[in-house]
Amino acid sequence: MKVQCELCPKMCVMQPGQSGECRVRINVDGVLRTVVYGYPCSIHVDPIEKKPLNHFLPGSAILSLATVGCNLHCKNCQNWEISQANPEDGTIPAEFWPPERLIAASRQYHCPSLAYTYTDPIVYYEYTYDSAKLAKEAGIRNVLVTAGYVNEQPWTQLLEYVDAANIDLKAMTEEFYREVCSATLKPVQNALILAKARGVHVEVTNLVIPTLNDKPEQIRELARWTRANLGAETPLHFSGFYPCYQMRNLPPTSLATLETARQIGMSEGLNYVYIGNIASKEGQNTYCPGCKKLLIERSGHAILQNRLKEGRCPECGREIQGVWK
Amino acid sequence: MTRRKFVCKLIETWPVVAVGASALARRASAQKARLRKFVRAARMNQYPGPIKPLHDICRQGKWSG
Repeated sequence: MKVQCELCPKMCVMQPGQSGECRVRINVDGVLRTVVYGYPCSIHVDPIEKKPLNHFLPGSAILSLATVGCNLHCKNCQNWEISQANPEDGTIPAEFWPPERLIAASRQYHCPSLAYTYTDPIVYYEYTYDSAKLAKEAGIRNVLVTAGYVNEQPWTQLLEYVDAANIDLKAMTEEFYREVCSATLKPVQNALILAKARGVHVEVTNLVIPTLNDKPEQIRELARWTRANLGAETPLHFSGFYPCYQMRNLPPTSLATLETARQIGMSEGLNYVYIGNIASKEGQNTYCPGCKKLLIERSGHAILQNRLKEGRCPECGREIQGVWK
Repeated sequence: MTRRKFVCKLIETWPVVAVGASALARRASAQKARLRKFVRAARMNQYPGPIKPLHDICRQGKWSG
């Protein structure tokens, strides 16, 4: 009997023995099964700034995990060895970590939050959902790092347990999503709007790829959409591209391009625009949108100083959007 | 209009009708999917890949994100 996976907009229809496009959801004798539940291939204690999240518990450690598989096939994927792997390949080992073990490890390593990241937490949805529910009950916060390519129903159910999300907005055209990621733009925009509406702390990342989505008008459109739909207080990260996977023919993004992107973002009214994946003095710091004074100084993923007082600018008292404790 | 002309007209407009019908069908299917209750996938009894202890958990991951 055929089954249909309704998790993401791909809506894969599978014959018995077949898996979906993500390679980790499979039809076993007419029953849809998740292959990777409880079997992460990677778990690490990361700085939260690496996700990147700049307005959520800055300076804290976050237990970060992933299983293999992804519902997108981005030609520029930086984690393609795990995201595009098939568990049966035998190349990527995993270990049994039930949700309870994740909670215990978060405590052991003094991590106030758990990140479902590296590949895409949507494809290991049931594992993410159960772990997030348990974490929430244990007072541990949940962070998703995702492409946001998910259907409304499962997304809404998961958001109930999510505290923060960094969601990629890869470009503003269906053509880019189709050609580069084998996906579509509209569901991602819906996922962003829905997460914001549900009270999740949302930060947006745009990977700027030379010649594909780095034109000023493309950046402007993305910044404009972000401001109009998610608000001026939503942090936006312009991240640098490095040649990898199936896109080794393009050069890395220059600092100048990322600085231009940041200027455009701010000129479009966004209050917090960051530069990532490349060293940038001003592009990684947080400044007060009111008095322009330095609030959080960063170097790489480290916090050099945090001058916020109860989530407010110590100079002018303006409230800075974020989750600070 | 003669029967012959009508048939010719029909053949000419066929691609437009097909595109319209397909768009309507797609929209109806998406609408149906939105209303249907999401069903979770069940767990597998066994992981199909190699199982090994994960190392260097307390160290920063090499993966992006």
